[in-house]
Parts: sequence; C-alpha cells; structure tokens
Amino acid sequence: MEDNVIYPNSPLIEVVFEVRFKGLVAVECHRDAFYQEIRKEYPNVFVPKVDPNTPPALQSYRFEKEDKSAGIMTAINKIAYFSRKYLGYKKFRKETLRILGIFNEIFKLEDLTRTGWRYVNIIPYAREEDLIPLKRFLNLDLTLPLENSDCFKNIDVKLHIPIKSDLFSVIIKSLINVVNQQEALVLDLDYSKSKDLKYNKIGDYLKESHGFAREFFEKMIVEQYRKYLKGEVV
Amino acid sequence: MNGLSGFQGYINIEEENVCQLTGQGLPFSRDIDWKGYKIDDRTGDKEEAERVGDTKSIPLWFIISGSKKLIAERPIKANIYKEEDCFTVENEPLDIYAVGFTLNEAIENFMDHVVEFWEHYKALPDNKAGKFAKNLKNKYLTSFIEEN
Repeated sequence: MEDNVIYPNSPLIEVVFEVRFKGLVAVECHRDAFYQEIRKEYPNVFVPKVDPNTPPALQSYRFEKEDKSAGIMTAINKIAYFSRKYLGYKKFRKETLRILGIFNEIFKLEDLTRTGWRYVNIIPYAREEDLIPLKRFLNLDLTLPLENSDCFKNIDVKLHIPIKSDLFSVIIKSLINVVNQQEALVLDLDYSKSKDLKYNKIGDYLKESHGFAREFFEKMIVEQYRKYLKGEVV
Repeated sequence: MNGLSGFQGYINIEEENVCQLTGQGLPFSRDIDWKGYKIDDRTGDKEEAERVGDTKSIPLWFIISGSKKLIAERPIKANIYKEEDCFTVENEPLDIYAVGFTLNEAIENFMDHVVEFWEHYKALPDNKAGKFAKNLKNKYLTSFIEEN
C-alpha cells in the first residue's frame, strides 16, 4: 500500500502527531505569539475546563480550523497537530512540519522527550449470532484455553509493545454509540519515540512512526475488510 | 529531573504514554474520547466518551433471517440514515430499504428483506422477468451463497 493512498471507506477518524518536551513556561506566557502566527488557518480557540485531576498547565489549548477538520493542541510540555479529515500522509506531514516550525521559531524546542503518531480507527459492525465478527475485520489471535475462545461478546484489549527503543501501543475495544446504538470496534494505534530525540530529526520521526503504524494497520486488517475499505462492495 | 516533578501535590509531566486526542468537547480526555460513543457498559467500564461524527455505513458478510443464512461474496455496504424517530438501512444495488425504530431492528429488517428477495429471484424464471428484474436476479444470485 502506497503511503498516500486513502481508502474510500476509511475507518480513520483521527490522526495526531504530537511532540513533547521538557516543560517550557514560555508556552503559557506567549501562547498569543504562537496563535497570531496560525490564527488565519486555525481561528477557533478552545480552552480547557477545570479538571481536578490535571494541572491546568498540562491541559492543552486547542486552535481549530473553521470547519473543525484539523487543529493544533498545545500545553506547557507538548504540541500536537491533529486531523479529523485525513487527506493522506504527504499533506499531513507538510502541515505538521509547518506548524512545528512556527512553534520552534517562537519557543526553541531543544529538550524533546517524546514524539508520537496516533491513528484512531472506528470500525462499525453488525453482530453475527450475537457475537462480534472480529475475524471479518482483524487478524487478531486471542486464543485462550477455552473451547470458544475466539468468540467475543465484548473486547477490551490494551497492549504496549517495545519496538527497539520505541513503544507501540494498540488498543482494541468494542464500543456502542449512545445516540444510535451502533456498535463499533476501535482500533487505536500509537507509535512513540523517546530516546535521544533531536528537533532537526522530526521529519525522520514522522516518517518512521507513520510508516510503522500504517504497515501494522495493513497487516492487522483481513483481506475481505480491505475490499470493503477499497470500495469493492455490493 | 524536570522542574515540575517530584514534589507532593505535583505530577510528573511526562507520565502519559499515548498521544493526546482532541475529544471534541471539553474537558479534553487524556484517554479514548469519542463523541457519540461510550465504552460498552457490558465490559464494566462506564467511562463516558465522545467522538466526531456518526456511522454512515457498515459492511455485512453474513445475512441471517430465521433459519436461512447467506454469505456475501463481496461485502454488502449497508448505508445507515437516522431519521427523526427511526433508522433506515439501505443498499441501492440490491434495491433494499429497511426501516426500524432502533438501528438493530432496521438491520434485522434489512437482512429479512435480503433473504426474501434472494428467495424470490432464485425462484423467478427468466422468461417471467423484465429487464430490471433480470439484472436484480443476476445481482442476487452472484452476490450470495447459501450456507447449509
């Protein structure tokens, strides 16, 4: 699968690339300077409500496009670019690097602590004989020492897998839409790097993280679901 | 050690191990957060979650109605529409439109219609079918295999 191919029935609902760094108080003091630079494309400002479990400095401000299709989140220790209408890796990468460039120009990102690429997929399904038809969508072998261990009423799996010095997180959960009762699986992938990070290598980290997550997704889905994603349907 | 870590009442700012998501509502969640979705209560996790947008379609490979089971050769794209007080599930190539007060009911009705149509077209002689019916018959007979 080429990097930039977008499936017509893509389950992607959100893509995020996040850079974390050692706390920079300047981000709080000069948020306005950053906002001025991106205001034209991301005019809508969202501020966090009080969350008793999270210090205010760690809660992100969010700057979004008018149509809410993409935006930027930033707090004292992070900046992230997200897209809810993913138009392919090349466009995502170009905008991510542009945004990070502006941020770096103002705040001088030196001590990076983590970079992460997150792909969130929602896969709606209809139950078959009251079970989640997992094998019609995913190559997931969760064999347990039980007779029907591949039959699931519900799923809730969270895995954190070391990949050399990086970390790959996979979340698979069954969800239900509170509005229309539609059931869905979430396939949530997060590839993060945290060793010896340098700002001038962000482009490489983006490429590597995206490449890994994309390849994993392609291997994770079964052929018949890929047909659906490609639009090969009745 | 970072400037903000290590004191009682403060938290380490590098604790999270996945990228933050947007939520779409406030406050932002540090974990999964999709508007319209929540974690299934049956898992015991009642965490409320939010996420953008609603489902527009689902793939179906397995059609079941009563004792009849059909397997689709290619996925059937069931398009879903939420009306004011009901749901419509439709597939134009199969000429099926099903309605239900709940989504599950609409999907069940959709499957019932598919099986009814499949049986109807299977029994329909070619010389009794017009052009439109012949096309549909061909579509049904090439799209499904009956599971014995």
